[in-house]
Amino acid sequence: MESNDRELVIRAQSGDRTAFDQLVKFNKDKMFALTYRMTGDRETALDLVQDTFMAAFRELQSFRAEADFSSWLYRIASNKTLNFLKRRKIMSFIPLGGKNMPEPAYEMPDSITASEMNRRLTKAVAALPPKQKLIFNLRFFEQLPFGEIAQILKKGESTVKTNYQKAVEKLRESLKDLR
Amino acid sequence: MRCEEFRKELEIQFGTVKLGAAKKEHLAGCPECAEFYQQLQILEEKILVAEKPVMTADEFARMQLGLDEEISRYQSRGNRFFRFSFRYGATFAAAALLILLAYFGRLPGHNINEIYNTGNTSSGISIDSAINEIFAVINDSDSQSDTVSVQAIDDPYVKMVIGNYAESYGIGADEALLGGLSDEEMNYLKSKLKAGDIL
Repeated sequence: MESNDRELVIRAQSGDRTAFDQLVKFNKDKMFALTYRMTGDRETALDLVQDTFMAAFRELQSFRAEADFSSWLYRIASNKTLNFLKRRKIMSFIPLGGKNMPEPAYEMPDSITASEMNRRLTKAVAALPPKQKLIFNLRFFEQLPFGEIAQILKKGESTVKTNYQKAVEKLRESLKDLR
Repeated sequence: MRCEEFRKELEIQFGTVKLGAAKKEHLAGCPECAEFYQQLQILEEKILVAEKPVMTADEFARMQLGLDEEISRYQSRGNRFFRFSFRYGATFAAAALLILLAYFGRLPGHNINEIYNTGNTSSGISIDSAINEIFAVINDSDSQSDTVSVQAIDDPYVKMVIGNYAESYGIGADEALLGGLSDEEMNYLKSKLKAGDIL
């Protein structure tokens, strides 16, 4: 953990609200990038980030200052996102007023909407199974080492590597015509 | 290095591939793996083009507002709980203590007032005769002690009498009469004696 983060965590643990707000500010983009890539919906991603920080606030006293704060946040965000995806999958099987709950349209920023290729890439990543998608996001986009991802997800490092390799294999297959 | 193994390795390192001497050598001698490596590189470049999602200032303000509200609610819930606990905690604790004392101050399944009123123990033996029997047994180390002790120990009130006697006369738990009592029963008897609850 960066010394700045560590200091802020210690201050936040002793009840300093501005220190906690600083931690939110420093980590919001990382958490948003993860939750948005996982859910494909900005509002849902915002809700998940808010839930993540709220859970962190509630459990702040149980956080050990020598651990990495952003890894701890990633763990909370990952669990919340996986739970959300699980609930959404269950809900999609329950008819609501005769209609099934639609999957989000994976809205894209304007600069990307124009590109059919990028749309397909995002869709391909979104179509990965939740755990593979999470591992792919944490590794490829957030560039976390496998060991740290294993700690975040409480899985073995080899399991994480296998999941990542399977995710890359699926992406390669679904995008093989992209040249 | 086998091709299958080599390609899996490349996939695991996707995004951070570092080609060591062994890998370079394999690529140089294997056109299929070289093609595979090239495809992965193209894929990597394409994915990297995608913009990193960033929270806009407006979104951050909304999120921060929501978080502030949630934290305030959480803290006021906590404060309310502590205020409530502080105000009523002592009353609740006193009430709970009284209930516990009222409950555990009695022998299980045994109404002490009933015994005083009827003059009998809960098994129907009169208090006087039970005490006399016990005194007789304790003063007499003959074999008859075993017979009476079995009868006596079966009755909770008599157990108390034995305990009282033991406490007054210093008879230890290894004596014949008290040998049938468990530690728990013995402690119970002693606690009753200290409370001055019997005789």
